[in-house]
Amino acid sequence: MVSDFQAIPEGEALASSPANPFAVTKAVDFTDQEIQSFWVDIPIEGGLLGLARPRAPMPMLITGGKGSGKTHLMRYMSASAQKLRHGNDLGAAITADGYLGVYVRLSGLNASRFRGKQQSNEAWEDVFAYYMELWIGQHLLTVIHDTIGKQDGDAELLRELTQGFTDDSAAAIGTVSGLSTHLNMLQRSVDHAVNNSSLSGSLEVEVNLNRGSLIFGIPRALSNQIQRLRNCPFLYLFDEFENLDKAQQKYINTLVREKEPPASFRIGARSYGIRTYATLSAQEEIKEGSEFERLRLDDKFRKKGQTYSAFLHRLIARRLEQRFVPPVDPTALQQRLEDFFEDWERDSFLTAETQFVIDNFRDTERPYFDRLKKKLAASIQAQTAPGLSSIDQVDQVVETLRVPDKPLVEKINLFLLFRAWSRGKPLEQECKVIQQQASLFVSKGSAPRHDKVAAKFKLDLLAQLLRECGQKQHYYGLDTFIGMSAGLPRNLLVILKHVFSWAEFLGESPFSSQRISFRAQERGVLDASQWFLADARIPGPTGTAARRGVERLGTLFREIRFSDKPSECSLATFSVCKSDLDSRTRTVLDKACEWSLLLEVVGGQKDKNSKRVDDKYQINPMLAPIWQLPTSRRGTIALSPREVTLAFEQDSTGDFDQVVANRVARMNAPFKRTAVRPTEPRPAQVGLFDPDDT
Amino acid sequence: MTPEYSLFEKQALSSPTELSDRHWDVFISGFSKEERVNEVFDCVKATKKRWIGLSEYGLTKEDYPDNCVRVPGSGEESLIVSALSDSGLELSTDQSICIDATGILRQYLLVLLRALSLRRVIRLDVIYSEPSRYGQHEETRFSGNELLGVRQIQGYEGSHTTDTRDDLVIIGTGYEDRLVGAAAEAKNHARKHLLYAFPSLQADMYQQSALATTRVHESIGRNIAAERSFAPAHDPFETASRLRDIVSRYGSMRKISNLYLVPLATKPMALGFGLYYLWECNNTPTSILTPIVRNYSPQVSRGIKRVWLYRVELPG
Repeated sequence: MVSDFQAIPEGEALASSPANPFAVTKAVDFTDQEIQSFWVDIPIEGGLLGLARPRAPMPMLITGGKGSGKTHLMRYMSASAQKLRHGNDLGAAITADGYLGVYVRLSGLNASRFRGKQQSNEAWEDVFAYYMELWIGQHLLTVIHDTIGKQDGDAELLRELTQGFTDDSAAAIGTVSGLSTHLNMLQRSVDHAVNNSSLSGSLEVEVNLNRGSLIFGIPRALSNQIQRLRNCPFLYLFDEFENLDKAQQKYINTLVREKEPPASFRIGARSYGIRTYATLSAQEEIKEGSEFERLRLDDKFRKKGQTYSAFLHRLIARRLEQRFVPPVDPTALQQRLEDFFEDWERDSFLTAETQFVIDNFRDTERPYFDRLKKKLAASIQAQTAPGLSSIDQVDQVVETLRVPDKPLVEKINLFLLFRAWSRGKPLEQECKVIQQQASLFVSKGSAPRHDKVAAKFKLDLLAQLLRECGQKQHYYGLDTFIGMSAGLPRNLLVILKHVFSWAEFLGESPFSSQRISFRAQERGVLDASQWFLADARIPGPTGTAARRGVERLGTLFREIRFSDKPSECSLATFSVCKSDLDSRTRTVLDKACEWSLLLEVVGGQKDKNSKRVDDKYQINPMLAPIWQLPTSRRGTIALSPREVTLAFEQDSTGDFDQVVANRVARMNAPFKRTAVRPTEPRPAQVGLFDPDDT
Repeated sequence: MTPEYSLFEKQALSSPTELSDRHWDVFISGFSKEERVNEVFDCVKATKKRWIGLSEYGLTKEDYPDNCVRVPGSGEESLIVSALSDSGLELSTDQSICIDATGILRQYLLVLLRALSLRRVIRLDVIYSEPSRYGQHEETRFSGNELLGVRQIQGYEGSHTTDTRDDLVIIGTGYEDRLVGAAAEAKNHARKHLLYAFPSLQADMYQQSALATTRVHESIGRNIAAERSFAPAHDPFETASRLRDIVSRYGSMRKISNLYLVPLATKPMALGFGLYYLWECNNTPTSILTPIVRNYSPQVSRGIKRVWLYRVELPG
C-alpha cells in the first residue's frame, strides 16, 4: 500500500460545505447556470461541439446509453445556456455562436395519449402532427421573444408568420405575442378533444396548419424579417426522443427528411429509443450520411480511451474545485486525483495484496490447499487422479506446491497442477517440475510456465485467492472506476457518489489529506453496480429476458473465473455467430446492448476454427462486482447459438444451469469430459496452453 | 368551489356483514381471488350487482363468475365500453351507486370516477377492505415483472404548458420501488415530492415504502423535496387535503409549470388523488400518471381486518 501520500497543502482544507460533490448525476437536475458551470470538454480538436456541429445544416441523431451526456450537450447548445454565456444577451449569443438552439424536452408532450382510445392510427397521426406544430411554434416564439423586441407588431413579420394557417383564424392577430397566445388557445382545444376522446368515443380536432408550416415557417419568417436573425441556423434540439412511439417518431423523421432552411435538428435519444427510421413518405427510411448524421456518444467515448479518461479527470476536478479554500489549480488537481483513493502497489508477486493469506492462515491450512487435498483424496479413491494411487501421496503433492511467503506463486503452482491433471499427466512427476520452476520464478523472477500463467491469469488468481479466503474482491482506484463507466460518464459519477457517501459514513474525510479507504470504495462500487442493474428497467417480456440472460451469462463467467483451470483469462466477454441465432434471441440480445447491459465489441472475434468473424459482447463492467468479474476485457469465450439462446430464453433456467455445468465440468478437477446432457456439436476449444505452448 | 374534504363521511366497519343492512341500486366490484373482495360482494345488497373482470389479473374464463363483465383490453377505454356501455348498467344521477375499490386497479378506479362525474353523478359510496395480512409480508409483489411504461390515466390528462422548467411531480409512494423509480424517471426533470402512506395499513409498511424510495434515489434525482408529507393509508379525503396543501405550498414559492400526480400507494389514497383532480385540477396543466404493468396478482392477502365505507362527493 502506498504510504507516502502527498497531502493537500495547508490552506487547501475542505470548504465548509461537506455536501457530496457527486450528488447530482443527471443533467436534467441541473439549472441552466449549472449546465454552464459544470460543463467540461473532451480534449479533442473542436471538443464536444465539434462533434455536435450546431452550425451544420445536416440533421444529427445523438444517441447513447443512459448517462452518456446527451442532455448536457443538448442543453449546453440551448438558447438559455447560450444567453448565459453571453451576458444574458441572446442576440449577442446568436451572433457569436452562429446558431440559435431551441431545446425541446419531448417528454413534456405526454405523447402516449395520442394513441388508442377507439381512434384510428391515421387520425392520431394527423392530430399529433398538428399538435407538434402548435407545441413547437409556442416554444420557438417564447425563445426568441426578447430578440424580436420592437418588431413584435411588425405587420410584414406577422403576415409571414401566419401564412401557414389554412383558415383565417390568425388573421386578426396583431403581435407576435398574440400569435403565441393564439397557438396556446389552439393547443388547449386539441388537448380537450384528445383527453376526452376515451370517454366521449370521438376525436374532433380541426386541423388548420399544414405539416411544417410553423416548425419551418417561423424560422424562415424570422430569418427573413429580423436583421440579427438573418442567415442564423435555427437548431431544434429534440431531447428524449425515446418518449415517442413508432408513429410519432415517423413524423419527426419526416420533418428531418423535409427539413427546410434555416431550420435543422439535433435529436437526442437513448440507444434503445430509436423505434423506426421510416417516414410518412411511403414508409421510406431516412438515410444516414445523406439525410442525417449520427453521433454515438458512448461509443465515441469508449473508442477514445485515454482521451475519455482525461475528459473524466476534468469532470471530476470540476466537481471538486469548489471544495478547496483557497481554490486549487484545476490542472494540478486533475493530475492528483488518483492519490485521493487508497490503492495497492502491485509488484510481480502481488506481495502486499496477498499478505492477508500469510496473516490469516498462520496456524491453519490455507483454504486452497485444503480444497486440493479433499479433491485429491476423492479422486484417488475414484481413480481419477493420474499417477496417484495412495492417499499418502496427497500430502507429498501439496508440500511440493508450497511457497509460504508467496501466495500468488502457490496459486500459479495449483493452476499448473490442474492443467497437467486435465491433460492426464502423472501428477507426482508434474509436481516436481512445478516445484523446480517455482523456485526459479521466485529466485530469478522468471520461469517459462510461471511467466505465462502470471502474465495471463495473475488477476484471476488473485480474485480466486480473495474469494477462497473470504475477502472482498478488489475494485479500487480511479482508473478502475473510469474503466467501469464504459463510455457513460454518469456511471462514474454514481460510483463516486456512493464511494463518497460511504467514506463519510465511515467517518472519513474524502478528498482531503486522508485517502478514501478500501472499505468505502468496495461498498460504494457494489452499491453503484446494483443500482446499474436495477436501473435497467427494460419494459416488456423482451426486457425481462434480456436482464435474465445477462444474469445467466454473469453466472457462467463467474463459474469459469473461479474454476480450477479457467479456459480464458479476465473473462467477461463472449462471441457468437449472431446470424445463426433465431430472430427472437437476436432481438433480446440487441435489447441488452441498447440498454447497455452488454457492450458490443467493435471488430468482433475471429472463430479459431472457421476463421469466421463472430459478434462479440462484453458484460458491462459496471456489473462486474455483482458476479466478481474483471472490469477489463481480455479473454473471450465462444458460445454456441444454442447456449446463447438458452441464456436469453425466458423459462430455461434449468437448461442454462446445464450449460454452465457442462462448461465448468471441463475446468474443474477431476475434469469430467462427458457432459451430462450433450448440447449441439461444438468445435474443439484450443486452450491457451495446448501442447506447443511451453 | 373546492370542498372541505375532511367533511366527507367515512365509516369503518368491523365486518362485511355490517354492509347487509344497506341497499344500493348499482354495485360494481373488480373480480379477483381475494377473500376480502368476494366476501364483500356476497354481503352487499344491490338491485344490480356486477363484477368487472380485468385482464391484468390473468384469470381464465373458468375463473370468472357468471355475472362478470370481462374487460377485454388493458386500456381504460375498454373498461368504459364494456363495463359502462355494454353491461346494461345505465348509471345515472338518480341511482345510488357503490363501488368496491379493493379489487379494481388504480387506473380503472379513477376512470370509473371520471366517467361517473361526466354522467353528472355527484354522490357515490366506495368500499375498501383492509386485509388481515399480506401473504408474503414485506415481500408481497402486487404487480408482475413486465413494466410496459408510464403514461397518463385517461380522463386525467391535463392541458400542459410548453415550459417544463418548473414541473412538479407528487408521488404517493408504495413499496414497489421499481414503480416509484419508473414514475420518477418519466418526468426526470421535474421536482419530486413524496407523499407517504402513514399511518400505514400494516405496521411495517411505512418502513418498507421508505426503503423502497431509498432504493430508487438515483432515479428520483436531486430535485426531491427534503420534506416528506404523510396521509393516512386508509383515508382518501385526508389524502386530497394533503395534495391541496402541497400544491399550494409549492405554488406560493414558485409557479408550477406542470403538475403530475402519481398514486402508487393504497387504493384509498388513489381515490384521494382522483378526488383532488376532479375537484381542483380540471382545465389545468395537471395529469395523473401511472406505470403500466402487464400482470397483477389476483391474490396477495388473507382475511379482512376492517371495511371502510367512503361517501364520495363529486363536482356537479
